[in-house]
Amino acid sequence: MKSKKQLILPYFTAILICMLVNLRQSQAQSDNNGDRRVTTSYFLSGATVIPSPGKILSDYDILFKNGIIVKVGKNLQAPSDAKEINGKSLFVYPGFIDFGNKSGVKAPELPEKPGNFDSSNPNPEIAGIHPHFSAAKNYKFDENLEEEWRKLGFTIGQKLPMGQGMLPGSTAVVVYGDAGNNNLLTTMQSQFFQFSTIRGLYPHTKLAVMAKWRDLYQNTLLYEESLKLYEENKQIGRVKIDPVLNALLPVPQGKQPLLVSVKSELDLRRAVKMQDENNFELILLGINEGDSAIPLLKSKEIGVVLSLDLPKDNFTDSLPKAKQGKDYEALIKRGIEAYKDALSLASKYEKADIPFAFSSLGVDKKDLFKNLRLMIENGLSKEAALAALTSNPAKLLGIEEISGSISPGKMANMVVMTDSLFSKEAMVKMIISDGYLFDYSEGAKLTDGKNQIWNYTAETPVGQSKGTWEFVQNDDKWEGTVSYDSPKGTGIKTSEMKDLVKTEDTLSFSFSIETNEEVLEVTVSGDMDQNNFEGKMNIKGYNQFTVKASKKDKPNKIHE
Amino acid sequence: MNKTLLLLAGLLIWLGTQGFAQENSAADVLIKNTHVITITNGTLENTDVLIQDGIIKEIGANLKAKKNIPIVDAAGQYLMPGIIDAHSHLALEIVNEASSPITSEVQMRDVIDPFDISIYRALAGGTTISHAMHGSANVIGGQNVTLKHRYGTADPGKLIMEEAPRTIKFALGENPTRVHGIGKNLQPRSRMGVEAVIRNGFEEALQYKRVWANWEKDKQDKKTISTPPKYNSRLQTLVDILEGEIIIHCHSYRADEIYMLIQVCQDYGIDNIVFSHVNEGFKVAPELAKHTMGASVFSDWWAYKFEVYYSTAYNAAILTKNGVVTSINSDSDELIRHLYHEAAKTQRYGGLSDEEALALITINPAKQLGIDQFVGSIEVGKQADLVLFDKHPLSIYAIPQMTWVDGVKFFDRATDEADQRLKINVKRSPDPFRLSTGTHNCMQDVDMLFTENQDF
Amino acid sequence: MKRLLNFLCKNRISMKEFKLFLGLCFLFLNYSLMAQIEGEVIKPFKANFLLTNATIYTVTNGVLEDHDLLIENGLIKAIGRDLPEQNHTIIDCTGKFIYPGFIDGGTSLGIVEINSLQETQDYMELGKVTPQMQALTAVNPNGVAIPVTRVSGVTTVLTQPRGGYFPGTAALINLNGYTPEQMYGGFKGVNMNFPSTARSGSYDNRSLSDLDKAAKESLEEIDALWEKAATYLSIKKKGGELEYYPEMEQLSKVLAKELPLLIEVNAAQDILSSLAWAKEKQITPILTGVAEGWKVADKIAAAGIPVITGPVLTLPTRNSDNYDAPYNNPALLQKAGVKVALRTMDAENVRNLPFHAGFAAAYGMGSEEALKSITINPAEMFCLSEQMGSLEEGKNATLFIADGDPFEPKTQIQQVFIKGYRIPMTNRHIRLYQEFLNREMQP
Repeated sequence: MKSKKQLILPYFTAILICMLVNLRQSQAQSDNNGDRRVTTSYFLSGATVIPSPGKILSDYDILFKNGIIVKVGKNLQAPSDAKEINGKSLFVYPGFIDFGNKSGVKAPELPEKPGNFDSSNPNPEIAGIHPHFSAAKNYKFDENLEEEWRKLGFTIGQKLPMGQGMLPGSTAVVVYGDAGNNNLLTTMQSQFFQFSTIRGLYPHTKLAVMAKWRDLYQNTLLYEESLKLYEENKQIGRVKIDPVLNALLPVPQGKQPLLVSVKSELDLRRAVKMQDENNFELILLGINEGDSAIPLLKSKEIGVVLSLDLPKDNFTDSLPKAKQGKDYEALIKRGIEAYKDALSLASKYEKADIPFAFSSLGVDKKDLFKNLRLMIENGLSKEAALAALTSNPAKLLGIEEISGSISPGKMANMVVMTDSLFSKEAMVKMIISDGYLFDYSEGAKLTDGKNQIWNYTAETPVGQSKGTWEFVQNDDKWEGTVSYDSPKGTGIKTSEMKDLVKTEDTLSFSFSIETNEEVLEVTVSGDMDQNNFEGKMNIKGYNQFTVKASKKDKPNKIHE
Repeated sequence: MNKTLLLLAGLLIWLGTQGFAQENSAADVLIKNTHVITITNGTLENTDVLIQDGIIKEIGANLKAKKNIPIVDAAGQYLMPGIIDAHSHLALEIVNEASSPITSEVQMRDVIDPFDISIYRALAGGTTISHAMHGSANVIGGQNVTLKHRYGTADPGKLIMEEAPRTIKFALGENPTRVHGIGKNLQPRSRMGVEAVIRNGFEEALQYKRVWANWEKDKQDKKTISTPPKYNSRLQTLVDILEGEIIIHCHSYRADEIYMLIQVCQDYGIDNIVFSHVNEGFKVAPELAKHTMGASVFSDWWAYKFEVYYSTAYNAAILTKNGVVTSINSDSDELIRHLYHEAAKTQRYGGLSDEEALALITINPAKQLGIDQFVGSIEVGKQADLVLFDKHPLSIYAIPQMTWVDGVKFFDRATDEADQRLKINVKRSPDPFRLSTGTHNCMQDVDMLFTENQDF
Repeated sequence: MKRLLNFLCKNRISMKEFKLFLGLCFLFLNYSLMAQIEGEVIKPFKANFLLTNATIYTVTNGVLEDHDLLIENGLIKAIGRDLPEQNHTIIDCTGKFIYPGFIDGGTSLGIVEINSLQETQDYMELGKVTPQMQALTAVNPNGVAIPVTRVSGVTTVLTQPRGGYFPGTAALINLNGYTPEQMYGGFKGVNMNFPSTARSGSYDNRSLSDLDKAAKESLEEIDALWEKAATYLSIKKKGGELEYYPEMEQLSKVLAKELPLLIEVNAAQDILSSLAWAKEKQITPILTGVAEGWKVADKIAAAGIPVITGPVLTLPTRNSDNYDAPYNNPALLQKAGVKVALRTMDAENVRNLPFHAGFAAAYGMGSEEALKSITINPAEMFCLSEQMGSLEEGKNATLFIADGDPFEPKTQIQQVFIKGYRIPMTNRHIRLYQEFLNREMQP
């Protein structure tokens, strides 16, 4: 409880500093670029508000001022100093919290290796053991980088320190607010730990990382004892400040959690073992496998942060089985099962009633929502998904008094969507972060040009076949996927387009469909204009069919 | 729709018929009418063995078991104790922490990989216990862990044989001198340096022990005390060795280096030492017999590097005849699949008796690991680690049929499915081909930073 | 004897130990049919030997009980009951068994001394197209592993270079002789490594399609080389002027079917590709390795292509495979109708060939077929069945006497003959045993 109050303090201090800055500006010159906003007060009206997972408030108004939510209610009176935003048919969610990423964090400066460098006994900084470093110190808010996260709905993120070694430093929590502000919320959030090393030095592998951790922990306790002894009796001689042990002191004291990055189930179990041996508050970051460990994590009340990164499906469209051995099909089956296990991991945590957060570390930004939807398709409830992006991380970070839901007194961090979250059509309309308004409807239009969705119908002897083509343009090169009803009866399937040629007036590509018996090679080609396509679909070894397609309207129809 | 249903039904049937080793969990069984090779008490013909709660309860004729205890009729077959491998790197994520000539603080129990398919394959070769060792890159390597092959768990801790005493890896000769001396310009560069590194370590450990003892004493006497000394698990582990709490298993080849370490151990009053590989052990067999817990050797490996050029496949026989407690180890995920055959080779190379040959892979390695009171023979009260062969295990034609660990059947040749993977790597499709020669992995994880050659 | 007693007295050896010592001497007398006296060097020697009253495993004519076998001029002169004795050295084989010498279809014996020392590795040349490199040239007749191997009954091995597309030319050698020529067993073949779609190790992270692509590209390179060799051959046939081009000279011999091609291939998919490739090139190669042969055994059988597979004592190629897949592989190939020979792919431990065969026998092949796979089958593949691979009159007297089934580790191989030479049944391993079994100086 105490820690949360401590967190509020720097937050208000930050606001105070902001005000001071404003004052000083007014003493100098006015804003001759016209960058400054007219008011810090906003009134969002008539929106569908989801203040916390599971609650829906229809036709609600939200008033926020100076970065703080002032009122949430029905039929509120808009204050005269507020900018009004029409929230009709918009959906408002609490701003998302990313439990771990590294954007904007620089690698720390390390001391140079001495001439007589001994790789078996390097100094701690060179060996990647610098818990006294902090992400905050090496973090610089970079609007270009953080806007990418903000566009995805994130308003708060935990910044992990850079460094290859086992103890790179403390994490910091940052709000993705205005570039002109200091956006740090906390600076000594947790101590980051990873099972990785600077190769070639001691510690070189996980083996020595574990051993080194034990030594560091014991020596931190002894260091604490030494400090106490010296406090009582100065005659025993001063205790030399050991920056490494000094930085670790809060961990055994339970004042700072150890945030352990886990890349595998074995890492996960290793981290739990560390906690069994030496007590401390443990949060596991980036869990991506190992549902058999769920009961263990539950019994120990360990903080759980799942990875938003999901593996690719390496199995469904594997090489034609004819070329492989007899047992190939069984192999593929087990592969698909394992893949599904990975997709349903989050839902298993939900079923076990373990609140968890998400980390974006390692995930490709364009896959982020796709992955969330995949998790939902594989059993995760939308409420749990939202909780993992909002209230759970707020609680795990100890910042739930200021974030994680939409209620008066909390920071004005909100995601305004065009549709309900996780639906395929939903687009981010605007983000409110630290009370600042970021309008992304223009941005959405911009990306729209690069992404196209077409609906197609093909007339086949067995009836109409329908699906979509999705095109993405990357560096002038088009890539695409095609969706269709699986001939295996397993729902809608997608395949990558091969040999895709897309010009102003023609389109051709091929793709393969796996049926129970064989792999069908399908080629599509024909003429197109801005919005319509007409052509042929040729299935190798079968017939030609007519295909028609039309470009789908921009998904975000609703505008102010 | 129909298709979906069919597919689902197929999947369910398929799941239902998967015979995974881990599904068995009963620790009671009655094995009837078999040749029981007890190791310590000869071979008993037409005998039953009753197992309850994972322990051998009774050995004799016409034993009766309680209802519901499964019965295995093993008429004409051969039951022997589960095979024990005193030198293995199976089920380890990492083998070497090659960054320092002494790394006594690292513990192999931190890097157990319960998903390693090699565990199942070892069971299919009758091996129920392996000594998962640190590699041979360092003069004093890490602390090893004795594993029971309870395949099927995701929990690394469940594979650990907790009754086993602590052991540690030492390594002499070419590997540490190449890795540290040639690779990193650190001592040892020669066999002289290897001795010096060990003696330095022991002396520093004694100093460490004194410093701590003094501080503790001052604290107890309530004197004005200074700040506590630093904790150092590396030196603490060496102290534990000196106090006889840890058994040394030392990778070694040449007679001179073996003799050197015997001398060092004598100087420091250490008796708990087993020499491993010990290809030239036959040259110092009387010394090994007198001063050590024995030698763990290869059946016939030689000439893969210079320090094993002057070896002989008769090593195990010479050592055995000289009274050295001798075992045959694998150091390989391949050899561990047929240690019974490796033991049989001592009958060709030196004419060991059946009893002597089988002791090499059962009670003798158990003694070397300090677990002979629990395993290594078929005796009432011992843990029911057993393997059933269709023919005498020293015959080339013998095929292991079933393997039990703690009375739980973990391998059954008749019913097990081919695919025994516990974990599928979703990042790779679908299961990569890999041609393996099952060669030595004592030098695994020693980066190119350290050494050019990856052999052991 | 007096000197010996003096020696013993000086070293204060008790009578008991002396008896043990004598016992051991006799043990070895018994083992090797000859004792080694201090300072004496035992050499292989040729004579006319009459092996009497043996059980003879002819391989091609069944098992002959209580038969004699006569060795003259290096050849098997006669096999029969009660053969007349004429100035022959008689070896009584009552209760003993005679087998043809075992043939290992793939090793690096003789061309490497110590595996990890580059200076002693003579099995690989620089470049990936070196078909003209002759393994036989690099065979060291005095390699320590040679006597270590032959006392196990393995008398003949194919020793082969490795690396690249065409690593060189393998040669069959008998494990007795002072020069490579004396050892040469009469067969040479050009090795080829078929491009593989398999990953090369656990660090190989290439996708399946990338692997496919790489293999395809390699095969295109090989095809281009093949095309060049064809051009070379046609010019040669027409008597045209050719520049010195030893690589093509050697490859053209393969095209002209003067030299057989040994194609190393292991993954199932690659095996099928190699069969198609051989068909396209209109050659009948020998496939070697063939680790996943069991998955496509019927296809290999249908192509009528023989296989040298092994090692048998090895790990499965895939984690999902049955644990005993490599043990079963020879049997499954043989049962599908493939002619199978075995190999160890070893150098210093080629002596384990009988155990590889024993495992193949236990795992479905049966003793008889397993025996063929290391005798007559490789002899036939090498077109040498007139000379070796079975015990028949007129064939080379390359054989051994054992006190039991030679696949059984317990069995002692008592005498080996290679082309009529009686081989000394000793080697460095045995001499070390003799010296150190009972060390004179105790601690």
